[in-house]
Amino acid sequence: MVRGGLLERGRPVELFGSSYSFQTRNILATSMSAHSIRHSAISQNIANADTPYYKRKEVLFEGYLRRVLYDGPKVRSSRPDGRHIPFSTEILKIRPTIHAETDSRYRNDYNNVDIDREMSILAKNQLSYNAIVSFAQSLNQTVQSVLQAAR
Amino acid sequence: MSLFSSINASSTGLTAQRTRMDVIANNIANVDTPNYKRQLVIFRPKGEEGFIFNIPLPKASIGIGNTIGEGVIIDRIKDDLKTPKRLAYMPGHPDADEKGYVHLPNVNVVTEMVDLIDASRAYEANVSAIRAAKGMHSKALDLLR
Repeated sequence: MVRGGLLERGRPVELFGSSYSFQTRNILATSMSAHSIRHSAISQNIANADTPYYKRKEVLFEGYLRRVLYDGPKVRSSRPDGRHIPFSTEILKIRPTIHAETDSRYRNDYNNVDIDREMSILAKNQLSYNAIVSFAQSLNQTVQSVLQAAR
Repeated sequence: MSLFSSINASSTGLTAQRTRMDVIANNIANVDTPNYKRQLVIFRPKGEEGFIFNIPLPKASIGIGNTIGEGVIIDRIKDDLKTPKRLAYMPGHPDADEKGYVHLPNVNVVTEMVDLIDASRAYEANVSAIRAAKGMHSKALDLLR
């Protein structure tokens, strides 16, 4: 039985359990998976750029995240500023939804994939995915430097 | 929804566009072959249940959602029977009809070249999507470092 240190008071100190990084990591994880799903949808749209009657797909996520963060059940937290992100326990339950945009057409064969628009959405999606991953990396570095200091 | 589903979808796009280029090349090669008919490639989305070659109803097709599909496949390669063929008066030609006309195919080289550019640009778009997916996946793998 190891005493002291990380197992003080009979339970491990929850490095990822209760601290701020719990919340942040959940947001990052759901956002990464949503962006990955959106990338699949964009790939599908680009692959079907010449399919007659095909309707483009889009993935909705950010609105759900915002709704859960600001309107969902919250852990009590002090928020000196209204713009601070409140804690929520529901973040991992967010599922992005996929919709077909059926009310438009871009060409005479009823296809509504605008390849330029898809490429720009692709670039945006890739950039924000990379931003999320970079943030996760810096979070890892923070935890790592804490662990280094504890040595 | 697997890890590589977006790359798989884009690669079906590459296959489809390359087949389209093959068919266009075949059309151009046969531009002067008597009785040849121009061929067209018809795509359909792969892995989308309930897809019909018709205008979807705005509400009904939302239900098709919640799956993204697996890219594109070639539905069929069909002969273009609507574009009129070219008739050339060559009475000495062995393929000429009783009035002396040879039935040249309905291939217009300019149309084919424009289609070829379209196919090649669509191919490049799929390549870009694969490159983006590759970048995203390797960036995510960097998290393990």
